[in-house]
Amino acid sequence: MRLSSHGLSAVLPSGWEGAFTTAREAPAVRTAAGVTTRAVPSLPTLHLANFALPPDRGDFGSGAVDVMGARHAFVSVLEYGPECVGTALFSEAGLPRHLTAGDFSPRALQRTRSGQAGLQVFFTEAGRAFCLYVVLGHRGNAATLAGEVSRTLANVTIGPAA
Amino acid sequence: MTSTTAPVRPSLPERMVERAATWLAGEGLSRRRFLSRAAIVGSALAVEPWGFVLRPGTAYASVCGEAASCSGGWTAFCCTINDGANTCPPGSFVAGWWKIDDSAFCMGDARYIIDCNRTPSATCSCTCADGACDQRRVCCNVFRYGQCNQHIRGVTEVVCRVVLCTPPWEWDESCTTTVRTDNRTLTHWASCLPDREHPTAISIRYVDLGLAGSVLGRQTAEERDVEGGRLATYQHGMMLSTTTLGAHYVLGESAEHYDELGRERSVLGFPTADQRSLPEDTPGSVAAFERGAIWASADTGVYETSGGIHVRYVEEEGGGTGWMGLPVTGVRTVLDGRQRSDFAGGWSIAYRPSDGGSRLLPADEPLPMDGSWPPRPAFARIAGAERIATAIAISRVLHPDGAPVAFLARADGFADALTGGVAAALAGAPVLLTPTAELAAATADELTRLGVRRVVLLGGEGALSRRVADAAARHGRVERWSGPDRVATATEISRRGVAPDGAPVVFVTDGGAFAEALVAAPVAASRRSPILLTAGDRVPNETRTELARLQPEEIVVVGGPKVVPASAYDELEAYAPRIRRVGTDDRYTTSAAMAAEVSEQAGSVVVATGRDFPDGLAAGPLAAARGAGIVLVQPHDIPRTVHNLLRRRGFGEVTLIGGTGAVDATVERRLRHYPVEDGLL
Repeated sequence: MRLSSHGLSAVLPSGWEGAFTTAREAPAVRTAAGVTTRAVPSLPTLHLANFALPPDRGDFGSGAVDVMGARHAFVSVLEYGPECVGTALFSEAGLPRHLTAGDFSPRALQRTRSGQAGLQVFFTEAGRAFCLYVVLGHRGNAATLAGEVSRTLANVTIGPAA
Repeated sequence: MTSTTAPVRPSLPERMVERAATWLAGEGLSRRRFLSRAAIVGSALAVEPWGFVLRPGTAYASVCGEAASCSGGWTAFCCTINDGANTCPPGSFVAGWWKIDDSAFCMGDARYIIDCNRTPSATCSCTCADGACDQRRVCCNVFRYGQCNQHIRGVTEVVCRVVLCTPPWEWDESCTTTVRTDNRTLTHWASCLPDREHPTAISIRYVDLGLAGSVLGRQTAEERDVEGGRLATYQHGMMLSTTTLGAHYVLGESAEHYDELGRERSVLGFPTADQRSLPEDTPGSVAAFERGAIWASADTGVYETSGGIHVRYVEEEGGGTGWMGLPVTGVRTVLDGRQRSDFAGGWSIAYRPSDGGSRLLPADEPLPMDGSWPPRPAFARIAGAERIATAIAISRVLHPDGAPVAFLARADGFADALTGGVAAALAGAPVLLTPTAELAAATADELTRLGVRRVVLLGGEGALSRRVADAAARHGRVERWSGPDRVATATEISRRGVAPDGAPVVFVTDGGAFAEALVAAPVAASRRSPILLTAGDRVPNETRTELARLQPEEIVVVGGPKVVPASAYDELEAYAPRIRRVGTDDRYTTSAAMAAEVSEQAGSVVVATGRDFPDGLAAGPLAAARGAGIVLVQPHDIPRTVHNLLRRRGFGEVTLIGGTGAVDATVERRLRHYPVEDGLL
């Protein structure tokens, strides 16, 4: 199955599913003169997982990582605004597409959960700023899951912004 | 006044919650645990009373939300670990944010959570918070949302989380607007945060400001109703809100002053903005209210402006950054019901509530007892677009029907024309200006309008070229008064234009600067006295020779010892039986002293800039014709000695020379308001 949106595309291996979400609505901004809104770029977030993604998910996978099993993996590729390109945080070049067990840490998680391990990398590709966030269901399966995630990421392409 | 209140029996849920909380907190409570228990119980009751009663084990969850324990895996709130401050603690930085939609605490708008990550150069170790119920993790999760401080590379541990209703990019300039959302964290909270189910404008602002870490410090009393709004007090001030104005704070001595005035019940009303610092060149602060403001600085103290005085101060006189300076008194009511405030610049605003009239007046000027305003002088500003045009404008005022003679001086240098003002005044002639190379067209037109028969050129061909002389000759007979240098030119002017037969009084000043000679001109003209020049610490031969010819009975030395040194003064003593010095080394003080030399009955004064010569030079004949002196002012201010003269003499006519580039509108405002005569009150 192939997913494509906002210049991002992924060909999903068997057993994987994915979904794009975007920030559709600009947050309200309170000002002294009343409430106004400020335009915020609608940026895509791509979620990939080898398990059924629950509909209610945070951008970094809360909700999904709560229900994943030991042999599951969750991937989030999140785009940041063009103003982020060229900053130190996004200085790494290219989406890491080959991951090993050693890249993962039980502390590298938004929310620490028993057994899980995570990876977070900020990078720039095709002139666009992104964050890759990966959660493995259990660090005991890191070698296997890292390989599975790598094969999935190998089929993720990032083109110029649509 | 006393009152009695019937004891209120706790409701069933309250009693059951209290019992459950006692069980949860255990026996033998320390003071801290007791306070924690009380806070939890209060919050639990407010948030979910029956839910807590039915499931007492969830008391903490009712306040702090889901996954509040260390094992829940989330990071703690900063106010839990940072002494109550809803701010990033030392050793951490604002690293990113996410939003939670439809937050009850933020009145249905988005709530924002800021991650404070460990600064790369700092250290911290993973631990569990020891909040009353927020016992989430501290410095454990290596994770970053990434929208803020992107100049810091890498990912470090999240130390704690800050809660906001203000969008992060408005709260911290380093944050970008890329939205990340996690609505599954909707219930996350801490007991150090206000009641999330019953927010108020004040509690939201207090959170956004940083709670105990804000400028207000810790809250010292429960927020409460006041007439028309709400009030909360803190260590360093207070915050008030209304439904229309929102919540705004007042700090420190300003808050104390506001309290003394009667707070929201006072003439000021509720605050309309947070107290803020004035710009750097005006150290101090201002707190704005519905009907006034409180101004505070270490130099002037803490005073309010209100009502009509406030309106005039802020809208017409520039407020705290304007020429009047900050208030040095509050608004006080004088005998006849009028109000008055004094300001650091030495001026007052008086206001008459009966008709809404207001008036500027010097701070030491009393108001007349009969309810009238002190009379103001007749005021005029004579100005053109530039110096040549200003000289022409003066000429038109002084000689509306023409003049037989005009003096011509170069527009860009004062050396040769320095003493010519006296001769022009005695000749009944204007001083016009032109560039050295050729006669300015506008000046030529003025010569035509005047219908002159004679034109006197002040200075040699280096000052006014042959082409200027030729062009002037089309209007009348040309005379060139000059010498090899400015000293010799001054003696030439003395001989030919002022005192061909000697003079009882001679004015002497230095030729190196312009101010003293210009302000001496109208006084010298009134006595038919020439102005001669010294050259530093010596008296040049040309001046000696002219003094010997004039045989004066008195020499008036204009300026202080840095202008005319003692050695030159001593030399001058040989040329007259009497000699005296007028003025000081400050040109403005000297101008005031010279203006005082004009008759005490003089009802008119001419004002010009002390920064440049042309306006003062051209003004000499005008001042002489009106029996007035010339006083010098700064472009934006009236020096104290000049102010004192204007205040004391009460001139009925004030004429300001030059455009607003030379003397600005704030000086004009003052000049318009010096009382003409002393009041009675």
